[in-house]
Amino acid sequence: MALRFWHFGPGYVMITIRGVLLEQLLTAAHRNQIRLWGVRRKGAAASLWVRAEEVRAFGALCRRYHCRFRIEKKCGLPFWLKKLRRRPVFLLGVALFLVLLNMAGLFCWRVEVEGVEGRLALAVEDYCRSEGLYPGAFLPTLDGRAFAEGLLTAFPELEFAAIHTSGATCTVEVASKLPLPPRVDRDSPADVVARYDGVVTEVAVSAGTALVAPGDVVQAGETLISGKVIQRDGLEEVGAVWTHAAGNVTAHARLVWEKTETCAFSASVPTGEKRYGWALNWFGHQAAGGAAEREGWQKTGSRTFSLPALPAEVTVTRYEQQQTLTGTRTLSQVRGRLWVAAQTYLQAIAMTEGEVLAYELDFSPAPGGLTARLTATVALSIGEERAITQTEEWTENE
Amino acid sequence: MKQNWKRTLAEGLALPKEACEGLPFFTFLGREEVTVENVTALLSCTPDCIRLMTNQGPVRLEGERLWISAWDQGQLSAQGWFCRVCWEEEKR
Repeated sequence: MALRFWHFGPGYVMITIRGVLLEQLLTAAHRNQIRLWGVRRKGAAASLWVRAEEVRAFGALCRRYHCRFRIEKKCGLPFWLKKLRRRPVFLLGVALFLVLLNMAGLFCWRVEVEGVEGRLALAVEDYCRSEGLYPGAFLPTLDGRAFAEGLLTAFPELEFAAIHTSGATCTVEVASKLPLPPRVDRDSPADVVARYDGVVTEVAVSAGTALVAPGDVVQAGETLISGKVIQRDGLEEVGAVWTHAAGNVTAHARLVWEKTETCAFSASVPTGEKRYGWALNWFGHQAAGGAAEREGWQKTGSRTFSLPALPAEVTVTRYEQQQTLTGTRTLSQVRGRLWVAAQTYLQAIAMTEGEVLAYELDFSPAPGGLTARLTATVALSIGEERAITQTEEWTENE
Repeated sequence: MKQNWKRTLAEGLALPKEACEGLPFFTFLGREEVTVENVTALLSCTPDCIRLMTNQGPVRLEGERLWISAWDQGQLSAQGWFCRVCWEEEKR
């Protein structure tokens, strides 16, 4: 079998020989460098395989040894091509297939995004699709450098972008920037001021001069720790140094939250009726059909399918009919909704600011509804840094 | 004398004798295939017996359904079901 593959190119034939001096003929053929294989004896005859180019020499030997030979089978590329000459349409089909295969390689069959994951990867894929890089796009017109630059401009969080084309697969390789830590200013002069009104309960100063003490009532914006440190020689003031004040001032602050809600409401709800639209990208051409976006219908999802082994993709979009409902809530329902909103606010305060010590929730009538007013007493750190503007005194000290 | 000189040289240099002296070299693959190197002629070929000529004398391969799978450059491969391989007495 291996010899047949080896001799497929030059071609080979199966010969049946008959005669008395068969063995002598075979020995003579071997001495004349004629390659023989598959020799089988069948009574007075024998069958064997010979290369096509050596048939003529083998025939001469047969005549010399008084043997008759007959060609039984012809195999190999030359005979196969000879058969094909009688089938021009088949040859034309093969040529057409090769041309189409070559043309198909000019189109993008697959787009891959490497280097990022999650939402950013989806966003990059959407950008590529919107900029003309999708299954079916014509690759020779694609300017990879300009595309990568556009990608970096569209996504500032990307540090590197490049496009590689391997066969019919486009690989968009991107790398996201490493987030830099926020710069903390610890050098320029600053005060610590109050964010809310409240009663100071604890003061801890690490830099600067404390201006308040536990028990003091402070207002929002009032300086708690000053960045000005007075230098003394005994009891006499000899100067001042401006520093970046730091410390923790804890106080019981009163936070106020208000919200008004009317009894009348309107809401958009799906009716349950759905329609689907489709779009086909095929060799750079687009075709769409089915439902489209219009008033009263909202796009609720879309999915893109890449057709296997084809430079094309199909996008199916789902639309749902929306209905606007209007109605009126009772005062009790409005009160309940405001209570839920107030509780949500309290939970947010407890998570972000500090411990809620007490709260009071009042409802008052409002035009067409109710107004909720929440007053909460929260133990929290009320200090925040505020830069000191350059003053004449500071300049002199500098 | 010539054969003795070749044999001495082959033994001294540890060269393969089948290459230096043209001795037949048999390779058996189970009972299904026999490869013989340095075959000089094919004496007979039937499904039951293949007779080969080597420079050491005729060799007889006996078995069933025997056929020559390849014969090229002095190397003959035969396939089938081999029962016996023996040397024939050379008529001098």
